[in-house]
Formats: sequence, structure tokens, C-alpha cells
Amino acid sequence: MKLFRWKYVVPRLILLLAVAAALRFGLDPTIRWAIVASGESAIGAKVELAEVKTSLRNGEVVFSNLAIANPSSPLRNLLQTEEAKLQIDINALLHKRFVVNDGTVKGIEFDTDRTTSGKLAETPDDANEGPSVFDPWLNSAGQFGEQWLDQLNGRLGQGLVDQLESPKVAKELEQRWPQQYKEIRAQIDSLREQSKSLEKQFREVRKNPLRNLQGLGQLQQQLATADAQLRSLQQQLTALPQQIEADRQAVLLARQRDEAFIRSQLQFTKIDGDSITQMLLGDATSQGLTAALDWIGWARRQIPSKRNTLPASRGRGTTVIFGQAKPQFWIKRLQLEGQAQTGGQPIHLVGSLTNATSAPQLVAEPTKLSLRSDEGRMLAIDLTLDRRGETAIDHLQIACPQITLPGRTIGNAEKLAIQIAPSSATFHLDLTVTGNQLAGQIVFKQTEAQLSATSDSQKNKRLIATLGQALDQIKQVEANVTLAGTLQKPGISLQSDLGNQLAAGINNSVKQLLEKQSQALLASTRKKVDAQLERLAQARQQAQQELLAKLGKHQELLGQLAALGQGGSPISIPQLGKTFRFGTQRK
Amino acid sequence: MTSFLLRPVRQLAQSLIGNDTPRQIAWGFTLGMFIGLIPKGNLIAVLLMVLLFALRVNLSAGMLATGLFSWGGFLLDSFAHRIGSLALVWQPARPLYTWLYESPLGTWIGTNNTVVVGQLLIALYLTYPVYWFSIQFATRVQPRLSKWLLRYRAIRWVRGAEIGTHWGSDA
Repeated sequence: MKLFRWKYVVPRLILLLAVAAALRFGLDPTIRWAIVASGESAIGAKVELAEVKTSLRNGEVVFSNLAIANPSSPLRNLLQTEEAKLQIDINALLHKRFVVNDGTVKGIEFDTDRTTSGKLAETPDDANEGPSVFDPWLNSAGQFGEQWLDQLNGRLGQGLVDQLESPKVAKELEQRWPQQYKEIRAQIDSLREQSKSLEKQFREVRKNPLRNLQGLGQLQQQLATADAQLRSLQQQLTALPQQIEADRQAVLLARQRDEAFIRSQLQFTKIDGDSITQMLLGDATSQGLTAALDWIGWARRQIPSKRNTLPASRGRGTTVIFGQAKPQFWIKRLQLEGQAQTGGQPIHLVGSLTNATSAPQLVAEPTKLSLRSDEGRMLAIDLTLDRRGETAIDHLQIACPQITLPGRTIGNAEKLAIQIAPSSATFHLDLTVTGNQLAGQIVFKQTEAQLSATSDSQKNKRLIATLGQALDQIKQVEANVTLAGTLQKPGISLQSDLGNQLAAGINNSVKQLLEKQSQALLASTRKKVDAQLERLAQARQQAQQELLAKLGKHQELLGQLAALGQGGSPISIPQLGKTFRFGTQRK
Repeated sequence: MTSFLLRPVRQLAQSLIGNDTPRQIAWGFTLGMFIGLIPKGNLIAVLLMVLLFALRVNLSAGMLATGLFSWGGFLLDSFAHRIGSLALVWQPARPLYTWLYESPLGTWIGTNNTVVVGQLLIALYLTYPVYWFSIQFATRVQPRLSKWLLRYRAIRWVRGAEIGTHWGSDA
């Protein structure tokens, strides 16, 4: 036993044992601290881990109650698990590689409540916040819909009646006639006064004809003037029927202009099917698609597509790798079990994650994530991330039997809007990302669609009923969304006959309603104007008869007075007296 | 500080005037040769260090050899790399290398490094000559040299310091 220096060996052995004991008892807290610290640094929110148990002999690590807070919503968890049991390859760990041969993660839940805030003292700015790439596409459709509804509302408003010309013309005529009547009557009254004055003067002349002979000439002139006025009034009264006809023609012209105006108002911008499709389905499809693209983007960041090169040797010589090169990080198989929310209902999911690795080109199979619901509603998610070749190929398939679509209102509810009731839909996504190029399709089916028109204004009641009929016909909505473009600038094309059918229905209904309302408006206006014209004509006829009768008396009197001056001889007193007597008796 | 600065001198003197047997000196020097030649940072080097310190060999001779061959090892690196490369690509030994590499401590052993393998082969090749020369030196030259050196007060003082250091460390 003199071979060894025990004074050297024994203390070292004791030190080695102490290190081993520290490793045994300090490993679990150290791993827990490392996971929490690195997780919080990567996510920017609190990461809580209740317990870590390791068994190096069996290569088993158990994480209990892991909760990762949502950085954008501190009182909610992004993810939480009850237990994660990992079977780690210790041999690989000694080769500086982290390989999980098998494992189970139980009780996975997303978006759960927290009792305490998950915000860190210093939260880095969230670079992901911002508008979705699909927002301009959705906004344009929404704005078009709102503008169309506003336009329709405007066409059907009270302003249309106010803009018609024929009622205005009829009203103007009706207001003008009493004034005209008043003026004619005043003239007739004036003529009567004048006639009376003439009669009086003639009586004076008759009393002393010789002395007032000079005044007789003046009387003749006044008589001629009165006669001229009489004729003028006669002409005016005779022209009254012609004026009635002229007014009727003016009203007819105004009516023609009204009809042309109404026709021009019927030429409204038709809502197109694509806009309706975008309005109805844009949100639902873009939500799913944005989430899918976000996940793929995240996966792209986590799993590099470039081939990993061996780290440069820092020591002397060249390090040779024997056997097949293996990735530094490799989850060979992980069984997953948890809950997710779909259609507002919790759904139990089971699945697996295989070949998740930091060096996909060193693994025979691509990374695959598969999740299935074990209940009647078959939710299925299959994600394949193939980075084995030069070009990264990612393939995502989601079959979701029930996604919840929240209710929403398009347009201004005070004027006119379309309400979409909360409903559910099936959603199938098949998306392939080759390199940076997107290609895929979304099939969207909404089986219990409920659309209705609404307005706070009572005057739109009829329009609401018409639109309601068109919207009631929609019970099922189907759409195909074709995806193209790149991850940064995705292009989306929505194909659905829903929009066209609905647009045709709405356009026809609205056109019929507009025509009906226009016809009714024109008919009521015509009736009103006709009644006004009739009243006017009757009033004129009555006035004509009345005024003509009055004028007839003066005409006769003036005729007799005028006859006195015929033949150029002076008026004889008896004749005048006779004439006046006659006139007086008549009066 | 003075002790630290004088240590190489003390080790040299101790290796020349110490009371160890020639075999202990020869084995110490040979192990030191291995340690000096092989690049550090692998289990082979660690194991050799542990052997040097744990076995009853002449530590001073070992440390002296380590220092000497470390310098020499750098000069032989390119040659060792060529030898190591040849050895590592030798097909009959491939299974052995693969087994060693895939064993739990495979990447730490260092047998997949060309220079480590090359220097190890050089060291193995030099083992017998170095041991033979060391034991010859320790048998024939060292007693006479020790006697001659002990006539000098400085050497006696260095030896005393070395003994004192030993006692101090042993206490």
C-alpha cells in the first residue's frame, strides 16, 4: 500500500464526495432557478415553477406546476402545466447535448387566470404589438360597407321629398292667385268708383248743360280712360283659363323633372359581393390566419433553417466526431395532454411533439406537433416543421369544428346597420410555407349565420324589413380563402358566393323598395299637386264669373256713356239723363 | 512570494538531491513527460496529474518534466497532429474510437483530438527511453551530483527550505 500517497488521495476523495453531495441536493433548486431566470428573460413576464425533482440515475426530471404569465396581460397565464415528466438521456447530457428520449406533459392549459400579476419589474417593450397585416384589407371592406349603408340611408331619407319641384310650383301658384285676384278686384272696385264719379259729374252737367259744356270734354276723356281700363280688365279675366292651362303646363314640366330626379336617385352604388364577403368573413379568417402565421413565425425563430456548422475548435489540433453527428437539443418524443378553449367550451386535447431539435438537418424526421381532441368534436392540429433541406418547409393543418365568432355591427346603428349575431363556424386551414413563400387554403363554414338589419330611426322601418328579408335567406356561409405572398406580406383572396348572393339580394330588395317608395312619392305628390291645381282652377273660374259679372255692369254703363260721344256730336242732356236713369235702374 | 519564486529552483534541487529511489524519480519524470506533452483540458491529462500526485513518485522530477515537455510539446504539435490524424483515420481502430467517443465520458477523454492522440502516441513511444535515461541518471549521476551540490551553502539552504516546506505542509 506504499504505492499511493494517501495524504494526497484521501482529502481529494472527501472533496469529491462533498461536491457530489452538493450536486445531489443542490441540483433541483439550481435547475429551478435556471429555468425561471431564463424563462423570464426570454418571455418578459413571470415564470413560476413549484418544484423540480431530478433523478440522475434514471435520467428523469419532473417539473411541477409550471406557469408562464402573459406579458401583455399580467393577470393571465400564457401557459400552465400541472406536471412535465422528462426522460433525459444522461449519456447525451455528458456529451453536452440535451436529449429528451420520452416525456409527458400533463394538464396543459392556455390563457388561464392568475391571482397575482405576472408583470416583471421591468418589462421590455413588446415588439409584436401593432396592427395585423390584414387590417388594411378588413378596414377597406368595413368602410365600404358603412359608406354604402350611409348612402342608402341618405337616399331613403326625408330630404328626397323636399327636393321635388312640382309641389313647390303648385304651392307657389296657389299662393300667387289670391294676390292676383285681389289686384283685379281692386282694379274693378276702382273702376266702379270711377264710374260713380263719372255718373255724378254727368248729373251735375245735366243740371246746367250749357254752363258745364267745357267740362263735358274732360268727362269724355275720363270716360275713354275708364273704358280702356275696362277692356284691360276684360282681357285679364278672359285670359284666366289660358293662365290655368299655362300653370298646369308648368306643373307638368316640374313633374317631369321630378321623375327624372327620382330616376337619378335610383342609380345608387351597388354593394359588391366581395366587400360583403370580406365584411362577414374577414375577421374570422384573418384571426385564424394571423394566429397561424404568428406561430409559424415563432417556430421559424426558434428552429433555424440554416445548417448548423460545428463550433470552431479553440484548443490544439482537430476534434473528430465519431459516429453520426447529433443535435445539441433534441426532444425525441413528448406526449401532451391538456385543455383548450374552442367555441367557448373547454376541450380535452391529447397529442405529441416529436423531433423538436436545434439541428433539424441531423435528424431523420421533421419536427411534428400533433394535437387531437378525444371527444366528439374533432379538433385536429398538425404542424410539420421540416428544416432538413436547404429550404425550410413548414406545413400546418388545423381542423377546428367549432370556433366562436363574436357578434358585431357593421355601419352606424343610429342610421342603418347590419348586425351579425354571435355564432360558431368550422374552420379548416391547410398552409404550407416554403422558404418565405406562403401557399394555402382556408375553408370556412358557418352553419347558423344570423344577420339582421337594424336602425334606431323609425323612418327606416320599411328598409329594415326589406333588408331583413334578404338577410334572412342566409343560413349557411361558406368561403374559401386562398393564401399567397410571403410571411411578411401575405396575400389573401376570399372566394365565396355568399357575398354575391347577398349583394344581389340586397341590391334587388333595395332597388324594389326605392322604386316602390319613389312611385308612392310621385303618386302622392301628383295627387297633391292635382288637387291644388283643381282648387286653383275652381277658384279662378269662380273669380272670373264674379269679376266678369261686376265688370259687365260697368261695361254696360261705360258703353252707354261712351255711346253719348259717338258721331262727334255733343252729348244731349236727355240722352244722358236717360242713360243715367237706365244705369241707375240697372244698378 | 519568495517561496513561490524559489519553487522551481527548489524542485530542481530536490529532484537532484532528494532521498527518493531512482525508480521513483524515473517514474515521476516519465509521468511528467506525459503530462507535459499532452494538451490539457481532457480526462487523460487530468488522470495523469492525479496519478503523479497520488502515486509515490518523485513529484519534483515529474513537475520538472512537465515544464520541460510542455515547451517541447508545443514544438511537436504539427507533427503530433499528423500522427494523430493518421491514427484516428486508421480503420481497424475506428470501432474503438467510436466506442470511446460514445461512452458516457467520451467527449471529455480527448481521444477524438488529433493532437491529444498524437502527443499520447509520442509520449508512449518515448516512455521507455525516457524512463531508461531517467533511471540511469538517478542511479549514476544523481548521487555524485547530490554530493557535489551539497557542498554549497545555498543548496543546503534550499534543501532545508524544502524540508521545512514539507514539514509545514505535512503538519
